[in-house]
Amino acid sequence: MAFHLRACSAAFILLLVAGCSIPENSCPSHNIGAWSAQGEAEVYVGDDLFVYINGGAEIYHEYGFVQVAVQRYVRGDDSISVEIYTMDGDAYGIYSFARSPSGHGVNLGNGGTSAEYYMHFWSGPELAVITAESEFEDLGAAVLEIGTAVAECLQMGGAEPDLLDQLPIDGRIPGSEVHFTGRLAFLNVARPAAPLFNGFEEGAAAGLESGERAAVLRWVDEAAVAEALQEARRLCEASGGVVVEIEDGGGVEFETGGHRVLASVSEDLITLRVQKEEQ
Amino acid sequence: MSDRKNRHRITRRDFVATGAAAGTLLATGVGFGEKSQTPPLDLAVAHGPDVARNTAAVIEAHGGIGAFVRPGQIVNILPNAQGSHPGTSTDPVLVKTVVDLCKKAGAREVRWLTWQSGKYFERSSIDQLVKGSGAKFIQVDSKDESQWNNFDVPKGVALEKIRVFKVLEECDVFINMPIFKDHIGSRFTGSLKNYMGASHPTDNRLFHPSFEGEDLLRMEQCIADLNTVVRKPDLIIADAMTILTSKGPFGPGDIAKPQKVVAGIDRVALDSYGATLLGLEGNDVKMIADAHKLGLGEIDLGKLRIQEMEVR
Repeated sequence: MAFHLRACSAAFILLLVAGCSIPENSCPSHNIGAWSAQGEAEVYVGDDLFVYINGGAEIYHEYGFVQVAVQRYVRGDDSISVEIYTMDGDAYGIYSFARSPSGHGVNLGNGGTSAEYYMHFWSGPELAVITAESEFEDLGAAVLEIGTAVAECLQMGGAEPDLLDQLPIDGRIPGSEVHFTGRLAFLNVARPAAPLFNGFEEGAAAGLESGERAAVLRWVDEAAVAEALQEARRLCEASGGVVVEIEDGGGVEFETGGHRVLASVSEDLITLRVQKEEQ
Repeated sequence: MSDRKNRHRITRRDFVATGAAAGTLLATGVGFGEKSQTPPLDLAVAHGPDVARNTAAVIEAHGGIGAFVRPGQIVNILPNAQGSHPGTSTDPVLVKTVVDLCKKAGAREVRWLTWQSGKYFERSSIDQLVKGSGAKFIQVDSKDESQWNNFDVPKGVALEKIRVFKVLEECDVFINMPIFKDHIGSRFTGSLKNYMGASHPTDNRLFHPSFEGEDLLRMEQCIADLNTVVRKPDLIIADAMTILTSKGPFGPGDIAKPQKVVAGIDRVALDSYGATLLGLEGNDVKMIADAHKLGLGEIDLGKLRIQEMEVR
């Protein structure tokens, strides 16, 4: 089986998408409870991800995609897909982006989230995605059963990024935190602010109970922060927006596209408060 | 092709009445090929649990398949085949229903077009989708330049040139068959963006080369620009039965079940309606607003003649 699995992953990398039968001692095993692996596993490496994902593959590349292994499990007419993405560093970032913000936590790997018909969890450089492809009675239990078996096979290690600690605690919606290093993710988690701020090293964002979104962006140093803030002023005004300097070092308010974004600076960080869209 | 212009115009209220009638006709088994007295409309929306019945109803509301497909004609279709995650691909039953109706109307051939590689379609779920549709599968080789038109885009704001596979033009009838769903870059994908299934994959990647600064939203303008040069759809039938409302276009993510099929000819109108199913308005989606500015269709749902039908 392809999932970075002890018995077969090296062969998969050599064969790329040629497929590989699941050996008896693979992890996870060919049979998980009443579920059986169907056909050969598939592995997509590097740009071959565009073969597997027709639209939206860019976000995985933005997070440092290396390969994905895919296998379907079946039980009669029911089917569940298992995808294991391997990234070039800790998979927390892609996990935080991909998980359901309205799901509930599951204790698999370093952390997981389960939603209506699917589950994400991560460990080390790997993200596991377990998805029921059809509706059936014990869907939630089946996804958990397969997820538990897959979790045993993931690489160990990894830690959540320190930047998450810079997000506000009061009013933060648990499970809404997203860590990112690229602009496509930034666009998705703080859309009105994304066109204004460029060149950051990493960012984190979270939803707030007020309906606003909080984001923290880190630049390489204070000089880069000052430069980025100045560029944001220019971009806002160039797009017809309004820039308001708040007195006594209270930050800068950007009014752009019908939204307000409040920015404040601290050393190599810019903290953003993005007004919710319907306001 | 369609004889829409020969049909008379009626008021919005009339459409609601004819919609109910269309549903009744379906329920009593009137043939789809029969000529309908239904006047022209912008969008037909069928709501109900059966995707096949919904699909037949929206086509009937537009005058029946005979208004679009004549005996001996070649029909090209462009479904969205994304994968096996729920709410990401055009419903296979919807596709098969359209293919069957086209054949019943006497179509010489119904052709499913794609540039996606063989490996993509070898995946079991998509392979089943294609084989079950009854359409002839036309797989365009992205490396064979002879299979591609290289269009200048004179009205393009961001796009100057684009390659589109030639086979799109080589038909009598073109039916665009998207699914409405969330998209990571544009927040919505539907009729307009589905044309990226006909433009060259290498060119598509250049729609968003860096996501830096002004490039961030360039993809949406490029999609609108692309739509100024591609073959116009003779009919659009959009799947809104089970749709991905977050983490699109690939998922998995939150799903909604509007249980609707929507049909029309105006790409902007279709997408403006489809956006509402994801809690957005047409103007919230830059791609739709850009297409409207380019004169590709009507974004204001209040100006459209929309027929909503309950189909049981």
